[in-house]
Amino acid sequence: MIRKVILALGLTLLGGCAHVGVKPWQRDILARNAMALDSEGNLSGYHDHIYFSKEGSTGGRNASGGGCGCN
Amino acid sequence: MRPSFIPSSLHLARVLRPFAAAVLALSIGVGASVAVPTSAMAVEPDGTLDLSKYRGKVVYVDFWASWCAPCRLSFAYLNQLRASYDSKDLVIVTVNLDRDRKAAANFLQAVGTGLPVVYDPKGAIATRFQVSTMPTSVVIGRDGRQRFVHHGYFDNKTSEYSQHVSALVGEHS
Amino acid sequence: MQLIETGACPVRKLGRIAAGLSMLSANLLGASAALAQDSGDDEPQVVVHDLMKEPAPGPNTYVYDSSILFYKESGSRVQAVEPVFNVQNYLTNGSIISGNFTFDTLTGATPNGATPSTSDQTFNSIVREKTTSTQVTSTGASGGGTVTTIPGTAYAKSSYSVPARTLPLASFHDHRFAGNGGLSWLANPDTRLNVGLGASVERDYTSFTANFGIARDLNQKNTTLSLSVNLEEDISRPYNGTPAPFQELNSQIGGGNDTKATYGVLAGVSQTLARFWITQVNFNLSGSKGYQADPYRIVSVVDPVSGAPLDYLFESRPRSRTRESVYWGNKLALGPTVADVSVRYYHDTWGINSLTAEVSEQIPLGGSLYIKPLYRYYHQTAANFFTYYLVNGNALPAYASSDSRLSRFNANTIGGKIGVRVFKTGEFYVEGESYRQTGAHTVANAPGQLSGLDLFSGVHAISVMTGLRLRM
Repeated sequence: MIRKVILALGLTLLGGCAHVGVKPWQRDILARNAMALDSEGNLSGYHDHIYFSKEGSTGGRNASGGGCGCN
Repeated sequence: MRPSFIPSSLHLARVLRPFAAAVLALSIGVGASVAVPTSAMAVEPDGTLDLSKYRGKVVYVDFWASWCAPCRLSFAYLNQLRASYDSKDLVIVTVNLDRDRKAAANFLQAVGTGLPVVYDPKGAIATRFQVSTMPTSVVIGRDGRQRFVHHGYFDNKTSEYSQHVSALVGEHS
Repeated sequence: MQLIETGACPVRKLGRIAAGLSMLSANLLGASAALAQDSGDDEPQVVVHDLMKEPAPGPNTYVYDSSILFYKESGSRVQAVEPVFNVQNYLTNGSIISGNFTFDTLTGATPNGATPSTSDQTFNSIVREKTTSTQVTSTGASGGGTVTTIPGTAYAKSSYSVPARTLPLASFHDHRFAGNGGLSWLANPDTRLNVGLGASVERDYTSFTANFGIARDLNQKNTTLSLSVNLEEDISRPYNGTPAPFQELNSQIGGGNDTKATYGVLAGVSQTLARFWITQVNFNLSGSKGYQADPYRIVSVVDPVSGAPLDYLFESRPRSRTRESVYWGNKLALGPTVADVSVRYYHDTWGINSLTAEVSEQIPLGGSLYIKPLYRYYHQTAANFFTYYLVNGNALPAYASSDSRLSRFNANTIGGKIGVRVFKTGEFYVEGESYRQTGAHTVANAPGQLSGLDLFSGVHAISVMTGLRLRM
């Protein structure tokens, strides 16, 4: 059930997004390091290592997207 | 080389600045809130850019913000461009899109530039020029028509940017 | 802090005095920066931002992140120290070259897979003599194992004991070195490609990875679609060779090395929903074929009436596994803070389903410091072949493992991070966390003594991570 909800959300994002978002000059907050999708640096590697070695699951975040959108 | 193009309002501001600075220092000293620069200090009022007064000159309009990392690099090029042309041939106007004026001031102080700044915190000028990425530069010919748009700033493309400017400067309408 | 030169201005002298008095206010007069400044000669100053407002790295930047992890499980189990060095070079043309180097040292003890018993237990195995000085399972957690050569052979008998009513642990120590390198570049302003290669080597395990990905921006970069593929080849080189499934512990192992091949595909979309909110959804599919068992881990065969251990067999796991997961993550700037909220649902063909929910809030305290409390909830169901023990006399199942990693449990992580601005553009950070797994301590209808013993082998671990991230 949860899978279906998240799948639907993903497809909605994919389909209905032409009008959602910000102007290129409105990315001041998104440009911050704290708002990057991969802001944690070495710590995310440590977390992945610990959780992968103690749990049965894999998969998760991906770094692409967001940010200042510059150039 | 010192920039020779200084519009009259800025000249006045330059003379008054030390006095304004002293007044502000005293205000801070008595705990009053710090004044954010008013649009009277800028080249034009916020959100307006009147290009008609530059007709007959090539205009290089550069849109930037303090949070835009390539903008930081672009200023070195803009300073160099300013130094390469006389102010009667080339006008460079930078348009700042920060919502936070303090961040813009902090950036300008670190970058070190004599170029004029127009503040456009609501993005009215950016919308008018259809800015699609940060930074963007729009190069306008002597006839007032938009001739080139540079999307983004890349150090390895500066010769291309300069070629555009020299081509337009070379045109005499 | 620069004094702004005013060139040939007639009130220069007074200007200098005022500027000296009002360095701070001079910063605020943005327009005044447009006044004469001798250009070109000075090294441009670095733009200093508040720590939490620092923009992500841009072109012409190097980022160095050096850190160390101290990890310790309670109950004299695993301890690890792991230094990591990461470097990223952001080039002016939008390319990024990155390198990551990890070294880790693990010591301590780990459950050997057997159940506890009301009597002391002795674990006898036959080991290869050449490995006796370096190996796993030759000593119990409290040390004091014995290894006796079998004359005329290349083998030895190894034996260690575990006291009554304690979870059997086997001690070990290992070192691992891993490195990976990546290159990312723009095919055009809206399309980014990346490739990466990595290798990880420890004494009894080697792993090679390769990945390729593509990310495409749409809607003025408000939407980013990404697709990436990764391939991995693992070589398991256990000290005593690879046991056959359900082979008795106390028997000679004929197998050598074994391998596993894994592919993974990630498809994701990220979308800016507002000036302060970005969200992403990622779908992950991966499959592995090959050796997936733990070559040192056993399962107890117990008496159906008394529950006493009668024999120990090496575990058996399927040679194929397909995994799927869906992840939804968000970053929201709520006022001056940044919240990170995410959920992941996972399912695999071994029968494990899991749900993960994480939340953290990064809170600035002034312009040079932040704190970041975090909480993670995790729940997984057991693999369909997970079992705490096998009952003597019952038919042997196709697969069986008592590895807690495949059992049904909940895990809670609670922790916090502190970040401090150093060297104008750098950050020193410390994070501490407590990770605790909770699960069933007993099994319904456990035979005999087992119904009164604690069968749970999940962990409780404390981690402290600290590091320095520099940008230049």
